[in-house]
Amino acid sequence: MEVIVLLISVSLLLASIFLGAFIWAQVNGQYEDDQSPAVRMLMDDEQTITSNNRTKQ
Amino acid sequence: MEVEKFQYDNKIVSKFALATVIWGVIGMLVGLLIACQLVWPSLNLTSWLTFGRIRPLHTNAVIFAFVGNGIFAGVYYSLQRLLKTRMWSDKLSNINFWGWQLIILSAVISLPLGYTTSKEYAELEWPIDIAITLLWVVFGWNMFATILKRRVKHLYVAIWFYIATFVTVAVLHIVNSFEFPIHFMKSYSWYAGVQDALVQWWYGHNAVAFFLTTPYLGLMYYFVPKAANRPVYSYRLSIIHFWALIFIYIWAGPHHLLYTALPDWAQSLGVVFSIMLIAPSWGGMLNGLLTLRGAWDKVRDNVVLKFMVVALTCYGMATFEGPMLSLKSVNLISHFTDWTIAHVHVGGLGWNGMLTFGMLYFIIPKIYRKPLYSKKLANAHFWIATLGILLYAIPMYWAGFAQGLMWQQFNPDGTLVNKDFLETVTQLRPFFAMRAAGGALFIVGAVMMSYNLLKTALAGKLVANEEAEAVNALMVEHKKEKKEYWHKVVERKPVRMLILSLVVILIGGAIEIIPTFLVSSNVKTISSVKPYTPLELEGRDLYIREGCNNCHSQMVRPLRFETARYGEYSKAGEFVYDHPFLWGSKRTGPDLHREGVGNKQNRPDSWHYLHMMEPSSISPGSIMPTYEWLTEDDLNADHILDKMKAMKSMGVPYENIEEQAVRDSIDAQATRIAKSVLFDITKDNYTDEDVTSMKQKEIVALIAYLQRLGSDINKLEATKTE
Repeated sequence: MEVIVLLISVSLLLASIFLGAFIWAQVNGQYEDDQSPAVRMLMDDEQTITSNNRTKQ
Repeated sequence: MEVEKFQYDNKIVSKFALATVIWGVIGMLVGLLIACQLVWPSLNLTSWLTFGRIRPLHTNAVIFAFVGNGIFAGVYYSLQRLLKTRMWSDKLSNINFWGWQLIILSAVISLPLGYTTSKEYAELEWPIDIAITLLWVVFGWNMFATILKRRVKHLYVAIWFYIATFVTVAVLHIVNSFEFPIHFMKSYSWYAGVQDALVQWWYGHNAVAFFLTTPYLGLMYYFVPKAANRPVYSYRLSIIHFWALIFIYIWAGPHHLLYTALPDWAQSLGVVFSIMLIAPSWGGMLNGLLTLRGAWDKVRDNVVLKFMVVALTCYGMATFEGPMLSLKSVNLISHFTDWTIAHVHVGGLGWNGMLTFGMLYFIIPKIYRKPLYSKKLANAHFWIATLGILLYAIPMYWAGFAQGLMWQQFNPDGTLVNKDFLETVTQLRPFFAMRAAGGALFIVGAVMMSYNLLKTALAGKLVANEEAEAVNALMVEHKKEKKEYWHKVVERKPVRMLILSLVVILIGGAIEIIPTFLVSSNVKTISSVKPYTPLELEGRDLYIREGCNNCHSQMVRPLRFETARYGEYSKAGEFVYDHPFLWGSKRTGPDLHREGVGNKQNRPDSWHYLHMMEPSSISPGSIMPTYEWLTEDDLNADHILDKMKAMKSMGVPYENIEEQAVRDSIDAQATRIAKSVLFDITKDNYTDEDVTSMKQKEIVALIAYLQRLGSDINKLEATKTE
């Protein structure tokens, strides 16, 4: 069962990578705004697309 | 603020989309074939088309070829748009594409030929494993470099899911694929027995989590709001459930090993985390469905949304069911039955399949600048696919539940109601047939989609390079600070730093940990458990080649109804020399761990011989394929010395591995078995030539292995009583 040592180490390593990513995200201000990112992704520059409004097909 | 002009690469998206469709149909057709083989065993046409060999082909094709290409298509489409930039390198994009297709092709060739590691969803042999690792790095490199040159400061939540997918799949694949190469297409798992099982299911469960779930959640967070043209219900919820999901998922693997020889505490740990998983999983499902609040009328008209709503619903059902199946009392019934098959197909067909279809119906008209060829056909596809899922899942739930309960039934006098395992299988045949019909419907739908998308693409013209423009939000900020200490620069390049630190930590961790657990191998040993003889080892490799583990478990659980049927329950110490472990996860046939000499299930050599030739002649109604080539082909034991040496270097105590001694040992054991078989089937009327001919056959090695299974502990008891 000593393989559990490996798995826990690797899992903790992963967890610490993700913790690091999380801390970076916080410090970097990735989450200071939780309204506009959801809306911004909808705004693609699509004037050139002729038939972009699929709901009216 | 300067507006920059650039182009999105749509060509790569269309390539991946095409590959998704083609491999999807192929992978599903292989699934249909194996489903039909369970109803009509005669469909096991040749050695390379037997259930045991192509079941892994089905799983690999749908997971890595269909869903894998789907991930790449969706990521390459959405990443560029979310970051307002072209992919970093067209060259890497194309290496990613062609390399991935080559890997799939090598799987399509090698798996039916019997080249397999036997580890579920990681069956591909070591050269392909290395290729997968390299290709994955190419994908990650391209993705992270694209993230670095983005024009948008904030990473949309979908990208968080893509990043977690890349990092975790890399780690899982590498750790689970530690294997000792014997020759070009043969290797042994570095881990043995319980340890191998734990690593395998740590990988196996997280393959579901980080290949079938997180990337698709990322895609969901892009395509559902896009298709509905409204923002996601709660961006905050998406962030919270993302971090919770990736943190909890990685621990849930042991729930695949409940009631096995895995230590109890590890089982309990897996159960606890599996139960907790319901919260972040449903967070994602609800966030997706609630995005449509007040806009459900759109679902009526928009076929893309229809597919996505069913996908999210199936995701919700599968992630509710998962924690339930992790409860020991439920698992007691469900484990090793078709319930698991139903569960994964609600996830696979429902969540992955339907989301992929929805995504393709969204992307193709966009990049080909042409409305969908036929909305009616797409609607028909939707209903056929949904019906197909129901027709697939419900009979399989029924079958699994029924079989699980049949195994447990006792008569008042304490004997099993269904003594013969086969009785519990023949009952399921109608359900297997219904399942095949459900799967067929799903494929019909996929073919309709292929036609619809093809017509759309042909009518339109691919905008290979789509013009776009954006303000570079990152440059605006960067210009402020020109000269600074170099580390400051690295600090502002978070992703690069992330990769750097990952590499650094991985190297350090690997150097420290691997030798530690390899050298001080102190597995609980049972003194009478000895390594396999050379012939048995070769037999074991045939067992792996034929994929016997796809239908037969080698794990008698410590439960009364199990020990009454099979004999003594399986103990961790019995598997210490099993590189790889062969516990299996599904019993289409009975457990084989107590098949060996001195056990409850033990049968004469000739029984195995005749059974392999024609299972239904010994067990009428058996759905096992015939294995006549095992009685025709000579055993190739050329690599036996390398195999034993490899085993020895992994801690299996083989002594004097010398050519002559090994060959003599093989010859003596094979002669003994050949004689015993011939004695029975010819009624003691055979010649020396018959023996010489038969002892070289593959079947003899396989019988040697089967007769050894789980027999060593009996020797312990024998010595005790003496």
